[in-house]
Amino acid sequence: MDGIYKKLAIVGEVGAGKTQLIKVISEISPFATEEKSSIDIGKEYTTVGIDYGRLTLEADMALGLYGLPGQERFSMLWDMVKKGLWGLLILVKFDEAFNSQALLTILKYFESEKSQLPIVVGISHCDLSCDEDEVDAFIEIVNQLLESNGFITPVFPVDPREVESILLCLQVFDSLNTTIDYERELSYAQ
Amino acid sequence: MDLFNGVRLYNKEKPVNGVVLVSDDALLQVLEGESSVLAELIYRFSRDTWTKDTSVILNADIEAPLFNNWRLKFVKSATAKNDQYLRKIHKAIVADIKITSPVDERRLALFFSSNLLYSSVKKVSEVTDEKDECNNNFHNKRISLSAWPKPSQIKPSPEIFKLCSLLSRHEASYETLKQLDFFKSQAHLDNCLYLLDGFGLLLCKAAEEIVPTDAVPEQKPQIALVASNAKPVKKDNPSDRFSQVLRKFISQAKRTR
Repeated sequence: MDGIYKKLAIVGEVGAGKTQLIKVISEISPFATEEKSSIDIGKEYTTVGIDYGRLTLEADMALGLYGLPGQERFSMLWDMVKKGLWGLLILVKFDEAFNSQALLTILKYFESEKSQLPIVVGISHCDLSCDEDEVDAFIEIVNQLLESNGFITPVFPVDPREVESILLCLQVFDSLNTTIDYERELSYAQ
Repeated sequence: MDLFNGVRLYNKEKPVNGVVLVSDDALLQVLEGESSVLAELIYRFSRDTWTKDTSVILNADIEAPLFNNWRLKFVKSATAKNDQYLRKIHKAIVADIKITSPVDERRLALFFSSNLLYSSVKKVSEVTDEKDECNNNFHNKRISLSAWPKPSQIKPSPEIFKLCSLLSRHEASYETLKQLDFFKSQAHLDNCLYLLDGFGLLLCKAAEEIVPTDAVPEQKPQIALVASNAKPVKKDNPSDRFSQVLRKFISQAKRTR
């Protein structure tokens, strides 16, 4: 019997937590492509290619985790994993000048009406906030940007260091995927 | 968007509290803080390329701060929650405002309803298109989602995820939602819809009734009948199996933690 293999892409800017997230849930040592940064980006190493991890659910079933840099100049890497994605998690760093254009570029690149790709925007580094209202305001900004560009996508805090937080993400992706069947029925019904 | 983000970051650096209200292309900022800090902020704000015609409509000393934080609030429609919030702000400050320019009068009218402000201006809720809030009445309505709820608004659950996922990408009638097996009971579904509606996240349109007529070919009403009662058929496909195993994995992982 053929195995079942799904792909989850995690895209985000430098330091958003892609590598960390894969490290936390992958049962294999991630195939990381980190290199020492030549300029000051707030951390010593940064991803220069695709980070790869895997979550085996059963003997013949696994979820592949692909960490991809968020800059458009790496879009050839996005192309490499784009086909047949189970989900796309876009990590956006809280508390920095929000790069709305970068988020829209990623969304437009991956989103197409035909593919109905489930997308989640995860806000990382929310622990830098002193209260929930600040995070709420940030989420509101992201939501407004999405709405004004025709995207209705879940936006919520994600802590790439916490298994619980990542499991919640997977739960959302599962819901987004399973309701696609319902949507097909509704399209027929309505 | 960049303007809001700039204000958010500036306000984080400086000891300024208050609220930014946004309605269409108008902004109303209520700021509290040291006068010099406020002056600098207003100067920066008025020179920002994203704004035009900035005016200060109230400048007053206060004995105690009204806001203990800084908030951003998008006021697109007069939902119950927004209305309550606006009433609070209105009570606190708007009564003291002396409007001298018709432009400011029009701007302010975008935020505060006529019974609060002026008899001649429209309530924000009246300036809507065919899509409108559901006002907790879902019968014979086609429902969709305008934005996902924030985690601070609704406790995340698989049912909420499924409902929001469906409504974010598809309009569905209340009657159809009742037939889906997302929720344990209708009351549970109703509660979720009330909650989402309370936060102004639901959009409703009147559902078109399907009335079989003699002119319609024989089979069509049947399709409509089947469709309106349709419950998605569970197919034993790889995606279903993946989903089942993933859910089991998630619940086991949560239990062991």
